[in-house]
Amino acid sequence: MTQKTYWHLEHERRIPTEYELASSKLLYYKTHRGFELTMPLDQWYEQHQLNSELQCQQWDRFSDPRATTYTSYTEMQSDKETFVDALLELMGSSDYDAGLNAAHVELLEKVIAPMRYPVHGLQMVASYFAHMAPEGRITIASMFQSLDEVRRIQRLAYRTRLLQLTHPKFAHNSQSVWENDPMWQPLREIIERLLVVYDWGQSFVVCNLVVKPLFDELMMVHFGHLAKCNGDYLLDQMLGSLHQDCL
Amino acid sequence: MVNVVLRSESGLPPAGTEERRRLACGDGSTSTETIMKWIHQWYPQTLRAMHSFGSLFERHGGAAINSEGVFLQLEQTYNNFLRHAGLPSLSQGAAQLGAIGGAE
Repeated sequence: MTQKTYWHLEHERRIPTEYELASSKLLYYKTHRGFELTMPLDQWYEQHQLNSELQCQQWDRFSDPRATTYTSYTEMQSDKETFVDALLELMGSSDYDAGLNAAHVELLEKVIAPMRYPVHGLQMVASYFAHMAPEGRITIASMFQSLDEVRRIQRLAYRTRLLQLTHPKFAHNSQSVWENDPMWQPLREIIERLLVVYDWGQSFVVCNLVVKPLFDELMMVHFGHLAKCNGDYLLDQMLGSLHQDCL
Repeated sequence: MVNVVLRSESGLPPAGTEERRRLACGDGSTSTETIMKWIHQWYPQTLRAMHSFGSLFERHGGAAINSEGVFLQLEQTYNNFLRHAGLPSLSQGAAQLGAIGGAE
């Protein structure tokens, strides 16, 4: 009898879903008990993945209940991107930015523009534990998380550029704000420490169970509410859309 | 975000979490203790980092917002998040801290 392409899912005794087909047993080196070539990479994976403090006998029990595949992810994000595109177009094509009060523009300069830096850090952390994860389905979900962060960086950068059209000196020093403003320094330290947490489990847990829940809630929800109170209701809606990625 | 849910001893995830992406570690390993150890190590400093943004809400929020309310809500939301993930809330977690060790 010819072996089916999804022989490894035959025990389910049904035709596998698209998600199961696309996500099962992706990490070939797990099946083959290691990489084909002996390289320093082996030792890195042994130390920071196999010998992680976070242990589970059956990582393959993880399954994304949303069954997100690349196709469904792009379809889902496409709707959100259409929505944010419309918001940004509205901001850019009207005198919306000229109508924002000076104190609020100053606030945006201190928060929105420098926010690209910590979000970029979170994106790099997600990419790290994605490729270090011990199971392909965790890798896939984590890569989507990394893509969500890229989306957030891109939208924050776009919003920053739009504001520069009305306020030419806006955010000319955002890197300096990120590196020197006392308000950002405790978070910068956290992000930089997290970037050198090499144990995949600790990196995953600290990012997803400590830093992101607090950061996302404060910046996407509470800061959005603050913007709305200052009359910047479109930013609140944009951050609301980006916050959906964080849930 | 990938949500982590620890299965209870019965092997079932906590009620209301079925629709979330979850990572189940219900094999009798010490995952919960390890996860809580890391949370206790990182939470205080992360929360302090969030509080450093407090002045924004004081200075720019007007009468509609006060930073005390923002951070109270932030901690409540975070504890709900932990509960939905099948983890002890932080006050409960703090009680276990002596057993786990390693917190700041």
